[in-house]
Amino acid sequence: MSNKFDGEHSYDGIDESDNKLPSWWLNIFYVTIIFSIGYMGYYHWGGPGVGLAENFEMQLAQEKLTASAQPPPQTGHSAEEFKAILSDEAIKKKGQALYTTKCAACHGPDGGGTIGPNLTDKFWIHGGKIEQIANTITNGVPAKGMVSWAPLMTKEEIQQVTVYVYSLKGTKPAVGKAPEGNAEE
Amino acid sequence: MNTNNYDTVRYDDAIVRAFSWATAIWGIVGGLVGVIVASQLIFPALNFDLPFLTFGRLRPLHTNAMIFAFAGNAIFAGVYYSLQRLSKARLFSDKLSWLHFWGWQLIIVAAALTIPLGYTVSKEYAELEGPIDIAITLIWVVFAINFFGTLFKRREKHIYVAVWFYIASILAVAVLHIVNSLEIPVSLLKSYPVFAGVQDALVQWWYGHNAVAFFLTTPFLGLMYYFLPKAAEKPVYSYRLSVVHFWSLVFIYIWAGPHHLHYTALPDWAQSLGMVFSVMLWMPSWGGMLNGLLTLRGAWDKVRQEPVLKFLVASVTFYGMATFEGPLMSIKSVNALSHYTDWTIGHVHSGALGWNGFLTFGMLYWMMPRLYRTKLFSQSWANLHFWLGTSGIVLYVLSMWGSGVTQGLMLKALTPEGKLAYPEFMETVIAIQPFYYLRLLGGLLYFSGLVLGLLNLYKTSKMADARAMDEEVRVPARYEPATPEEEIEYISNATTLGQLGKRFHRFLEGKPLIFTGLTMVAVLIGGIVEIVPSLLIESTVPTIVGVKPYTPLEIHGRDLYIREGCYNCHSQMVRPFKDELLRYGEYSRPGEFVYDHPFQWGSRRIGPDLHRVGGKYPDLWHYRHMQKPQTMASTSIMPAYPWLISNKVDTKIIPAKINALKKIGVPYNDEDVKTAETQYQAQASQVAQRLKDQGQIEDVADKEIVAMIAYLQRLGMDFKDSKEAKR
Repeated sequence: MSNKFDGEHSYDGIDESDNKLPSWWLNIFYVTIIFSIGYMGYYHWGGPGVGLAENFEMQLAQEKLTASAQPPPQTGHSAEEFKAILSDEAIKKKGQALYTTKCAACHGPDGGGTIGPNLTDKFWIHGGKIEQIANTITNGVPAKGMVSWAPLMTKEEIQQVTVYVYSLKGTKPAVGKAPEGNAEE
Repeated sequence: MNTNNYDTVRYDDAIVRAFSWATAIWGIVGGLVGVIVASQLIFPALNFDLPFLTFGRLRPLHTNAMIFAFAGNAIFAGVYYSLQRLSKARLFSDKLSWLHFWGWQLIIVAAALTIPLGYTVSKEYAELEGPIDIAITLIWVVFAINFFGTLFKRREKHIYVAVWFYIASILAVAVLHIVNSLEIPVSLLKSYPVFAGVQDALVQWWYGHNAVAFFLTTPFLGLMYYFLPKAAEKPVYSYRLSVVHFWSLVFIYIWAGPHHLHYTALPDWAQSLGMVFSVMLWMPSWGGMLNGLLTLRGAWDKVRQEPVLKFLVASVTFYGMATFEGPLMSIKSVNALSHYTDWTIGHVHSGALGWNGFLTFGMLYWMMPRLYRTKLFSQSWANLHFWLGTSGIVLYVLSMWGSGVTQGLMLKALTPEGKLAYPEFMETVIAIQPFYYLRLLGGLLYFSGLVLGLLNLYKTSKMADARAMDEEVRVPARYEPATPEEEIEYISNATTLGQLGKRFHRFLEGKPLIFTGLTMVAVLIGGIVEIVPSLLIESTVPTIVGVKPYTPLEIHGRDLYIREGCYNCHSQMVRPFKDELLRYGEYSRPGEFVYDHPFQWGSRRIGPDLHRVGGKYPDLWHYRHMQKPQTMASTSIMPAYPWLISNKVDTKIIPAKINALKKIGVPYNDEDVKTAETQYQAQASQVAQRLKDQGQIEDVADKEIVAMIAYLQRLGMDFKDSKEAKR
């Protein structure tokens, strides 16, 4: 069909055929277009579709998740639960491993305290009884930058690390931070 | 036709050689930086505690080098080679050609200096600061004049499909670059984007996605349409497929940007448009792949022997894979898992290494021997390069799929009681480390192929024929013209709709100016429909009463956050998912970002999200963490930032920053500008005092660290106290 309007379909030696569009190609293209119109119709052009955030709010309402989504504060630790495990060396060892990965950054590798307070002296800000220590770890002290560990450790793990922290009392750290809180015997 | 009238045309091949060497050399530089950043994610010590070698600064250097230096120079080489031959004309102006070449290389050098030095706007693939942005614009205009000038003196009536793609690329890149670079300067190398928060994010990813479209896709499709049939010596499969997929591609592509912002604070309708247009983009993309692969019908025996064709076939195949994966990832529910993970990194590398890289190598191996009037130095080296590259890509992509899916699933996993199964982000970082080794190996394989390729091309050039190397051809001086009346008559005499369409399109192909105008319209529609409403309609971003502008100290801290490239590893965008609510806190609202020039939502979580980090840790925690992250988390892969503690801040610049932000709509008053320095110092002493109280001995009020801490401690705080946060 070479004429002065159409010319040759040949460019710098590259010839151009004019095969039909593959029908599967064209059909899938149509399907994606129909899907797109349907999708926009369902979610935006008057359809029943719900927005992403709205959908999430509905899901939360259903699950009755609380505002910060944190589990309700656990104050459930009691002196009782530690009686059996307080001098269990295996438990203490597990607690030490947890302490090293999660607590040492702020309380020092040996409990001497850096960002957080000294755990080896007899001064305690939030109480030095074993169940008080467990509760402080569980709930954290968000105002002072200690996170609540309840979402990050199981109750069992919190018991283990508490046993270890309790055992630090009276040890001699390399560098001990100055006392904070109240002296307890 | 008057066949007696012939012209002798000498093509400018010197400029093509120059751009070809530039692409080969910059490819190695950019690839080397890629290997380094991949290693840093395994061995954080490789950041060397030096500012200009940290991941946050080198990663943008890698992306910019690969896109604008490696791919950019390849485009210019291929376009200038093919355009002259398709137009049967020498390039419009030798002076402009060389201005283009040296201007572009200078821009690359400027980028390679400023990015590691921390001069960055922090918008991905648009990090370069004001003066370099302006230089890019000017050089792009030079390219455009040279390109269209050549087209206007062409000796062929019709422009071939390759040229259509070049036209679309030149237009779209100009528009994208200018709109996304609208900034207000503070100093020569510091500026703030005029858009904030949601709008800035939308404009950025309209740009970012279409940099992929019109810098890494359409120019390379054009190159494919020239070099693939040339190398295969076969006719292009289908002209009408070219027409249909060209127009559908340039029209649809531009809409797809918002798929980078799924589940973010971007309005739902924009996200949905981004998704459906990405889905519709699948077949137009595959049109290019089909036209490439089907052109090889009957030439497959050649593919087995000829490394050039191997590269080109693999390239088109990777293009097909990536353009199937892209629409898949743009589906919201898939994106919920894939976004912020290495899956995205794998996806972009199957495109960049496979499609762009291999097409470039195929083109160079075909073109360079011709440019030097000789044979390729070694076919077997080229074959080895192909296999090194292919195995590299396969390792790279598979490892990133593994890493992305693993981390995505771990982050989302909940226990039966509804708690996070992996509450520590660090657990997921440790889990994907093996994949990082595999990725590094893949990268090294690919990189060694690059080195081998450069060597092969160098040896080829040494065998060059010493005689004049520019190709000379004798071509018909002019094509037979038709008057407008004749053209209209010919078109209107069409008997079927198909014939009418074809005749009309054929007419357009003879009128590059009209063709260009229509392409511009097709390209602009999507951007206008998506961006303009979000700028004009206030309800896009509902106001949150508690959200206040940053203090001068926090602004400076924010600029340090930008300088260090923190956004390369940390997002500031909590998505509305239960796992993110549990891990980070409330999902992010559009109104929280109204003073964020630029937005810092990020695109990959190598570390955790930071949008709710304010108040989470004591100041001293941040101090120690910046000093050496591993003291706070022994397995951290974050670089150390000791210079933040030693660098003194010159507060003289602070009022200019506040003033610039005031000009683009942040509600500071004149008093704020005047007192910016005193406000800065007052808050800095407060932070320093708190650090002292918490156990830090020396006074750091005049150091950068206090600004950084003040900014981090501010993040998410305004929202915490607002009524929207109370359920």
